[in-house]
Amino acid sequence: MQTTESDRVIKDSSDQEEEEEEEEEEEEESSGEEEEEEEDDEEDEEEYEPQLKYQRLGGSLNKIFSTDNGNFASALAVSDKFLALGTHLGYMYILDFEGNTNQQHHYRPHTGSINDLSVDASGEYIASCSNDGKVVVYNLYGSDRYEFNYNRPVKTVAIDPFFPKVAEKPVASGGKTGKLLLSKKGWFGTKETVIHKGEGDIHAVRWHGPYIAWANDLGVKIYDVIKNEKITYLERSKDSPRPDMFRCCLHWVQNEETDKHKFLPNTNPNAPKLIIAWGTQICIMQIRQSTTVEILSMFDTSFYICGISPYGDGVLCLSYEGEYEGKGTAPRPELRIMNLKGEEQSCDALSIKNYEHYFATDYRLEYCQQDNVYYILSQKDIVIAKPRDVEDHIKWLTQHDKYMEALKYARENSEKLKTISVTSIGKEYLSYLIKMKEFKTAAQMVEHVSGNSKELWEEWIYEFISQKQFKVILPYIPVDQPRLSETIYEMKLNHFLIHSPDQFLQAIKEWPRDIYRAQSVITAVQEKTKTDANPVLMTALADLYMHEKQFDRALNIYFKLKRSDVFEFIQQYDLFSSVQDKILLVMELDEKRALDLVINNTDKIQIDQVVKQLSSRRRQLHIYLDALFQKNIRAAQKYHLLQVELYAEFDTDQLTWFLQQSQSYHIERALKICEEKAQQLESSSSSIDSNHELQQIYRAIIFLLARMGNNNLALHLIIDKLQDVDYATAFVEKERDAELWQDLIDYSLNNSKFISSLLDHIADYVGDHIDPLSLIKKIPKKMEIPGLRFKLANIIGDYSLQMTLQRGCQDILRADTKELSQQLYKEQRRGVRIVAFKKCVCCGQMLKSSREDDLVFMCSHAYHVTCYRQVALIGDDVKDLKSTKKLNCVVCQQQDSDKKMNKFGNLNTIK
Amino acid sequence: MDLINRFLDWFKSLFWTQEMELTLVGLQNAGKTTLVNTISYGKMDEDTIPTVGFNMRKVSKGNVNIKLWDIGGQPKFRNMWERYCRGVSAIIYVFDASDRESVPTAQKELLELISKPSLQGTPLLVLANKNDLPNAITSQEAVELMNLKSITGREVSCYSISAKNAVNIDKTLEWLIKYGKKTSGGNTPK
Repeated sequence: MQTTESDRVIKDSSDQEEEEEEEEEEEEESSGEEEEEEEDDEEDEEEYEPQLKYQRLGGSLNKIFSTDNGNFASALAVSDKFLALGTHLGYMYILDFEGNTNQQHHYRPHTGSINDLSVDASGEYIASCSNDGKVVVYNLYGSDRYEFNYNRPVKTVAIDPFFPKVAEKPVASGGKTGKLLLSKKGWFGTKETVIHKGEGDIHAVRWHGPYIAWANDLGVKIYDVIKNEKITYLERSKDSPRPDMFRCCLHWVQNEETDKHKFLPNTNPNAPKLIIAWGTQICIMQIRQSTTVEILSMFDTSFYICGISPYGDGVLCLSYEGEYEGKGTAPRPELRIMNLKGEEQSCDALSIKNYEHYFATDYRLEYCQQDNVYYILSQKDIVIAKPRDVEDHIKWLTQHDKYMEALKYARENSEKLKTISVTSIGKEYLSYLIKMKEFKTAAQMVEHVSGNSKELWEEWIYEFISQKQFKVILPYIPVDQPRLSETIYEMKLNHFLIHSPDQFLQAIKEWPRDIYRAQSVITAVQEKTKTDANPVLMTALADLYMHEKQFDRALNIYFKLKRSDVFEFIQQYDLFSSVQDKILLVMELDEKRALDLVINNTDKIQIDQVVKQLSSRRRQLHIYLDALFQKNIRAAQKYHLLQVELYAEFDTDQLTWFLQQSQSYHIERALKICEEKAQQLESSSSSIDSNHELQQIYRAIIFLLARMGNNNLALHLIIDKLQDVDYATAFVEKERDAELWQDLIDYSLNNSKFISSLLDHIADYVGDHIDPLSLIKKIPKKMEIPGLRFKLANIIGDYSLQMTLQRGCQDILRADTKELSQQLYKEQRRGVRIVAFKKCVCCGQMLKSSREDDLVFMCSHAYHVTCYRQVALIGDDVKDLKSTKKLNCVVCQQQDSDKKMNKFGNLNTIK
Repeated sequence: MDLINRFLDWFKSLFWTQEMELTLVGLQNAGKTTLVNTISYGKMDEDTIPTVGFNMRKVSKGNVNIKLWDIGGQPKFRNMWERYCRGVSAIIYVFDASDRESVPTAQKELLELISKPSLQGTPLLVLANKNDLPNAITSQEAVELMNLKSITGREVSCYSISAKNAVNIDKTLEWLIKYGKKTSGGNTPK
């Protein structure tokens, strides 16, 4: 048997004043109870949850029962909309479900105790019966009233459920007369029919549909009003107690489709069922096909029953343990739930006022199926019992600290919750956990309790903070859904900052940026990093700067951290302008990538800026400019001179190439730079490397000199410094200057290597500028020339070949001349036709007219000698013209010169 | 003659009578009990006292029998409203149109009541009582103030009445007879 403390103390819903009065009484009771309970607790460690909850009906009841005149309750009937209460003084009250009396219907139909009440199905008529021998039917809505007087105490009454509709107005009653009477209204007054008699007192009668069930001393019978026949008979067991000692309880049940709370839902729903309880025996039967009666269950109990009602799959018994004869203390009534097998499911002891003095018959149990509420009537009290609902279960669980179960149950039944929410349970649980210092569990609970509510989250977080348990709840604080206030995130960050930089960084990286005030976090981090330059923190700080668009600062940190992803970072955020003045830093980080960066972004990173910053870092500067130059020759023209220096310094191999490519340097200054460099190199210790460098420098110088036109000097340098014959010859060849050749040869004389080389090559160049013989002749004596013999043989070979060629040419030439001379001679020997009267070309006189000699040329021009003299400006002193060597035809001479002067000139004079 | 009349009555009642059950709710002092008296007797009872619990009355209008439940309006009775409104033909919600301060409370209580799942679909008649007093709320105003437009899934109407002077009572009854859910031949037995 399990009893619970919580349900023994029944709350009073009535007015405050009266409650106080009662409290005194209850205190007495409870003092006794406590002892019992303590024993119970010792027996059973674990408590079971009760199935019912209790409440004392208040309203006007205290007023009704307060009078000391013995106006105690004796009968109760429950209708759909009200309760009907009868008293020992014959009064009847109509109560609402909170115990307030209806002012219209307060009357006294009887002078003796009202033994039973019966309300019709529509709730319009109430039948009452009393010890005064009368049965009264009262219309709640009208003035009509039916009264029957039987002169003997009437113990029980049942009104036809369809009373208002039935013209005969039938009422069944019975009592000390031993007859079950059915009174009907006839055409001429009341007609009474005896349904049954002769088996002792009638103890109870209940009407349902066409069936009337009643109990007499021998047992229970059912009668069908329409068929006018008895259906069944259930004998009372022989060993039962005296029939009047315990009330026979009859209760009809028929489930309606609309009923939420069905009795025995697994049985035939349409069959009306009758529950019988008398003494210690319980029987449940149902009527099938209006005649067959089926016993569903029948069992004996260990207690006496003073009231019975349906309860889901079982029955609810108001039990009374033991017999009370009016002496000593009466047993405390209990409510027990029994299943159909007669097994007890639950038992609650009731706290009824003055129960010590009550007989079993002083109690009644009534049931309102619509509300699923049980009314327990005692002389001065009505207690309501309700099955515990979802909320009650949750309350019980929470009261017993079974919060997890409560939460689970609440979630499963959330749609049934009205006053309790999952959240409120969670809150309670949380408070409990915090009280118990189980912060870890509590922290895990916060999420369940707060869900998406920002306010709740914050409330709990602050609670944790006030308990100095912030770190426990930290991992559970949501970032999103809900978004909490900035302060909380800042606190969380601050905690990380102090205790766990890694987590701090992670938070900075993962959290949305707008959930905290970055500036205040930055300040905190700055403070922290002043003392502890943890790279993780620095990274986080950089991230923060980034978020705040303070790219410069972020970059600085990246540089400090030497982060390799700084380049991507720059690219990604287009931070070229920020990086502009940090070229050195960038370079330090990763020269190659830095160069790539600056070179590929010349539009964003000013060349001047870079050069300026790199001025102290000449190597980087050189690499930069070199790369820049290779990319675009014109990109940094003004630094080309500087580049000359740089190439000279770092990359002599490329120097000449550069000098060749670039057009934008001052040649003389470049030359000077190179010369200085050369000097410097020469003075310094010589190694293979520096030799090579030196050579390269000289090549540059040579190039520059050549460009300046100072070929001579250039050649000297080639010869002196480079000692590179091939280069020299190539150089000379390129310049196509005989003088240079001569210089080369002159110089070569001092150098056997050169000679040797020259001799090798001479054949290639011979002819134009060099006379191999003169070279060979110039070779100083005793000079050792490797392979001279071979070389000489070569030269000679070449030479003889050349000679052969020349001789051939000469022969051909001579032959040609001879041929042509002969041709000429032949021409000259041709005859010239002279006309007899040929005129002088000068005077026009006939030649023969003059006495003088005439002169005729091969061109057939004829002259008088005198005329010729004049024309050819030969003086008279020359007597003999034949002595004159040159005698030319003036006209032809003139013609030639004219032709020379003017192709188009005409010699009019010649005809 | 008497017998024949009784027979006719009985006969009529078998075939023609319709049953209606109405529940009157509203804040205290709205005039529910007075309205019930006016409906049933056609006049006002001067000495109406605050209702404790409930009053019940049955009225016959034509061939309709109307059962009236008049529930107390004081806060302690308000949680019973739903219990008494369950299964009725219509809910009559009465409020004091002359007491503008009480209107928000009245509106809140009304919405709470009709939000109960058990009362789904039950027709609702809102009555702005005491329109004989100065500065009383008109029915149009009442529709606004009580936010009646937001109520859906049921018949809703609002009248401005005076239970004291029996103004618009006939209209009220007409509406109730027209829209109230009727059960002919009384309740089915339980």
